[in-house]
Amino acid sequence: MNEQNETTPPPAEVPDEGELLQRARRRDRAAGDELVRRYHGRIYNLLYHMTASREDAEDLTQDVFVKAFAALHRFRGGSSFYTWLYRIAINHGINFLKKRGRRETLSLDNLDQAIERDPFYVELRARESPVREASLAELQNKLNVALQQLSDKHRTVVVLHDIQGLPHPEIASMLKTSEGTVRSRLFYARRQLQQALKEFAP
Amino acid sequence: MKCSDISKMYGLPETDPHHAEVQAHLRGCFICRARWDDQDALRRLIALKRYEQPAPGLEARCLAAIHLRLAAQPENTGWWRTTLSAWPVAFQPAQLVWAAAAAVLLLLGGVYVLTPPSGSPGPARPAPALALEGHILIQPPDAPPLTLPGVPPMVVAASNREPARMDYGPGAAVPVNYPY
Ligand SMILES: [Zn+2]
Repeated sequence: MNEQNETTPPPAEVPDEGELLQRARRRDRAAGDELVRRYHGRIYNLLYHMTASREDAEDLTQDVFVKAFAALHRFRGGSSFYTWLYRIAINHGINFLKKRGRRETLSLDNLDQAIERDPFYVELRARESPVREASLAELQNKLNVALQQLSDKHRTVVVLHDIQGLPHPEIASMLKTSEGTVRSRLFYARRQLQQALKEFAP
Repeated sequence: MKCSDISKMYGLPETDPHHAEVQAHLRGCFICRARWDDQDALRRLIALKRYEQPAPGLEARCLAAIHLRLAAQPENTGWWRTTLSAWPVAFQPAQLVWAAAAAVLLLLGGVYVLTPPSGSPGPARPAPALALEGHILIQPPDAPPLTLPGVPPMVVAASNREPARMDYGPGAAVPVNYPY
């Protein structure tokens, strides 16, 4: 037998989510931390695209986990934990936006330079389109302003589907609505975005 | 399939039973094809936002803030919560309100059944030990002198005794002479 195999520690077992939830209900901090590690990125992302503010998104992400841990005894697994957490985040985000109102100044995250290798971006740059002339920062700003012009419910489906890539049935379950409603919201939201982004849309 | 139906079909997965029908319509309808392509281009343009990255250290900041906030919350592990969380069904707040209302009704019903009819003699009403009405001290005749912590005992002048002004049992309305 290979000696190296004997000395190499076995890979750390990834704890099962059900077990993590059980432990988190008993206020096991390590289990709670693991749940935060698994989902904070996606929850932050959702709230960032909903609010166009990195500071607000960070505060709201913390709120979502604090709320979720406080209500964990009510989660019985009718849906996945991830769907349940998303529901909390969407409701919290929409309530926050209602209180905050429309904001003109955006506080944007940095763009990963990998965008320059994105096939669609490369295609846009190659065309006779304003994208060829616009800086990445300008494009990012335009996209965010356009998204902020949508109503909260239209923006939410665009973020969940077009940015986060979630399928229609999952979005319908998160929003407790039908798949048809999700599709029709997407259709009308994109039509509105087309107006706001007509200089960039091919 | 009509053109008006197509707008409800954007993003339909290939596994959907209507998918083939939609594709057939798109092959034969120039207007729907153009709209479909516009929708797809918009989706891909908006999807570029996925390259926005949170500031470094987000996980550590989130964990630290969540720990602080959870530590500041009162420990909520009362017996009722433990019992409820052991039940196989999750209680919603509305269900708890209904359950509480039902419990109150049951309790009231029990009290009604156990209460004797109004005609039967009830226990004699005891005289109030002490009551203050304005500056008049109403006191049962044989009550010991009133003492309050930090206040010297009151001296009740026997000559000031008047008939009781309130009709709730044997007692006398006594003007109080404060010794200060
Ligand atoms: Zn058509």
